[in-house]
Amino acid sequence: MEKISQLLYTLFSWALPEQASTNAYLVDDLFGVVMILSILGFAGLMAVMTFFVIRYHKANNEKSAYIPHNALAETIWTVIPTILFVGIAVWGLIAYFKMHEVPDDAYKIKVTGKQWMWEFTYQLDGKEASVSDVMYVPVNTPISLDMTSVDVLHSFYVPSFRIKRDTVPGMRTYTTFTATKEGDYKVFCTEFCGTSHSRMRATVRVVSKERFQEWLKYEIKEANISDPVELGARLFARKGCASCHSLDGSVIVGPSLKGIWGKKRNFEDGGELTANAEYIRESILKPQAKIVKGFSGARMNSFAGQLDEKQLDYLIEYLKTIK
Amino acid sequence: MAASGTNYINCEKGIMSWLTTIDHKRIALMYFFTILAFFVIGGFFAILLRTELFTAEPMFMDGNMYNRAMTLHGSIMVFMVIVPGVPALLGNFCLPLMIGAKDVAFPKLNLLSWYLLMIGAAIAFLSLFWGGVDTGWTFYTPYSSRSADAVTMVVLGAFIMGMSSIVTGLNFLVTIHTLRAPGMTMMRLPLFVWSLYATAIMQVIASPVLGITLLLITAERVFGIGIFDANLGGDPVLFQHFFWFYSHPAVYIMIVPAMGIVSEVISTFSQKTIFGYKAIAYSSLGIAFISFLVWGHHMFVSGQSDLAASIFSILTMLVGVPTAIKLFNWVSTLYKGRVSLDTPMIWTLNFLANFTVGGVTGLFLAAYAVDVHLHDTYFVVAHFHYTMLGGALTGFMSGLYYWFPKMTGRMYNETQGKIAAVLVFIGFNATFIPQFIMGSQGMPRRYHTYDGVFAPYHMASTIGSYFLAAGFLFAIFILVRDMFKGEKTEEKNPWNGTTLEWTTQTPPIHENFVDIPTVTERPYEYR
Repeated sequence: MEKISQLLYTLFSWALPEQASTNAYLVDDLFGVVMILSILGFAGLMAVMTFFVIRYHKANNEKSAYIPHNALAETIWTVIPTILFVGIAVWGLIAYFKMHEVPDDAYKIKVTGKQWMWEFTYQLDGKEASVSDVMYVPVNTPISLDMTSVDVLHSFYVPSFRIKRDTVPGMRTYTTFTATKEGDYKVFCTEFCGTSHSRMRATVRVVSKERFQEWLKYEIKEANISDPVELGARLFARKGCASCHSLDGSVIVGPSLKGIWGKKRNFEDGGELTANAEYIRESILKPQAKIVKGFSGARMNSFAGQLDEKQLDYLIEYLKTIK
Repeated sequence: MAASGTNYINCEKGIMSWLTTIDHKRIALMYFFTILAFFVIGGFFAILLRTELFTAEPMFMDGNMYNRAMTLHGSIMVFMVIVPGVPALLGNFCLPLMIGAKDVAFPKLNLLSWYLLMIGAAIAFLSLFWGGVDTGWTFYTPYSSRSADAVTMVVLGAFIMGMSSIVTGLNFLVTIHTLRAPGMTMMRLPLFVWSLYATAIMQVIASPVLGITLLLITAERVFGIGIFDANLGGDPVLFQHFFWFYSHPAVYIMIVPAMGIVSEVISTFSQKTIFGYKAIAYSSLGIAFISFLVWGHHMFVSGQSDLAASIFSILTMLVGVPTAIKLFNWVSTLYKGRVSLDTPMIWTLNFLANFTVGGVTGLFLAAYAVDVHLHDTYFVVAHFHYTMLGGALTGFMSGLYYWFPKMTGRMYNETQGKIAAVLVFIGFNATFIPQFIMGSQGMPRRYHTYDGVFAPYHMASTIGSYFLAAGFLFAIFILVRDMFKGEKTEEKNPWNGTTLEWTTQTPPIHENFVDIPTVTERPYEYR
């Protein structure tokens, strides 16, 4: 069965997104089968039609025959489509119920649609924490989405997962999936919601279970904090700055950062300056540019590429407060 | 009646003789010009949309403009072109002639229908001066309860156009029941009349629900009565139930009459009796009946109950059966026929090819699990254009060319007619095949901007749409030009058809028949 399923997807992968959830296989099997039936049915009917048009063209046929009906033919082409069509419907329903059944242990995320963004809310230490733009989910874990909208209708669609469900104001809808591959997947809004409907996109980021836990512990919390000092403090802890730089004046590996803001710095090359934002930024991104006197043996690695501009600002705001 | 040379066109003169006419044939001609004008306007917006979509990021429209153009395209095509197209134009012209009557049962109501369509359309167009409407032709709540003020006007326009549709349907039902010529039993009705009969039933039963729904929206917008808006205590999904209870039968209001045309054309141009007359006649009624029970398939991901969705899925598949039967019957009619490929027949063959694609892609959408993926993507856009444009409007063109000599007393240019039909076929498929592919890949519909991965498909579709537009413009140009300049013909029966309209003078006299004919057999008796 699995081989047939693979073959079907290979045949029609040009028409489908990648398969990144368990639902994808359920949908694509039926998609493939209906595709084959459709192509056969269409090609067959068109071949017969074309043959008749040519063979019985008035240039080739003097007189038409009188054939008002044929009970056998008509019965056959009533019964066979009925069986096929109902068969497809039943298959579609069975597949749907498999897709839409939420396992008891599913990880719950709340999804809120609003003009024009998606908000994802996680349960964290008994409290709720929300992020937008990127929804993190652990791989190979059943996820259930508890969805609603705050304004008009939206619809949460992840093509690679083959899931879609409207979000309705005043009503809660749900959908469920198990992502099978790590990576980034596109989210589209598919229910018309106004001016920027087509910009109401987001990303589902499927990560390993460990990475997901780490994300939950650190980053999502940060996303719900607006105080730059606190954000800086968290970054300071998470990036491991404290393992080399003390805040109390003692020396661990590198110079202590106690009272760094506005402090006079003397460097190995004889230069000196008063510590300001520019200097701190440079010290994080290009640690070897200016080495504080007495620390030539401490080789700090650059954090360029690991911190964005905002995060650098948070760190600077935090360091200003270390008196 | 006067000597030959007098006909319904020249029996009276002057603009007032047209605006106050109660002759069904003259009313049909008024529909001819107005509906084709609406079609060109609706097509113009389609081309604007396709051009804008050539690039993934905005080209010359902003989001609001795009959404307004999209709404206009959909509303014009549905309410002003396809719904009235076949019944009000060709149905009006043919129905009394085909059943051997002098006119429809209520000629004045017939004229009223035309005026209602004009008033409704005028109000809808006027909304443009109040900033236009951006809800899409479906007016989904709660968005439509909150967006631009002009929604109220467009809704009122659609309401009035719905009245026009009801009046026409009622008129046709009574006409078919009471005005058939002696000997014209129900089982001797031409299949086009059967299809108009089924259509009229749907118009009369379904359109009032649209009217009520639109009034409820107005009540909510104007008086703040909470019906659909959750903030006011209403239910947004209720609107969808109401809306699709009309709008699903409406898609059959649009396609069934075109199917009737195809039955006529395929029999005439095969010079052979239609295969399975009863099956085709009854399948029209079957479609009309089942079409009322499938509306929920538009709402598979709306949050309706799974049980309801399951029932809708199976019933939707069943509506495919009578449709498949018709396709098989039409192709079988060709078997051992004497086929000629004049322009109406080319359009009808286009119809068969396109409509089969529209039909089989409907199977994907009716299968619940697959629909979850395909719902509201370009796959749906392509699917309904295959049925509505490749099907309904292609059948409409077939009928226009087929009855053109009878309507006008002139012949269109045959070579040019064929070129236009082939051009439309090529342009149509070039436009919509890429839409199927990007749709099943996940491209959502009603998107002004889109993810770059879909760009090649959008480009192909846009280029195809230019050929499609050129084809349709050419086809319409030929009809309008040859209505005035085509070669004159008085031949009663240029195609050797078997229905009653071909037994009377070309163009017909004001009262259709000098003597009401007596019918002794079913049509299509080519022996």
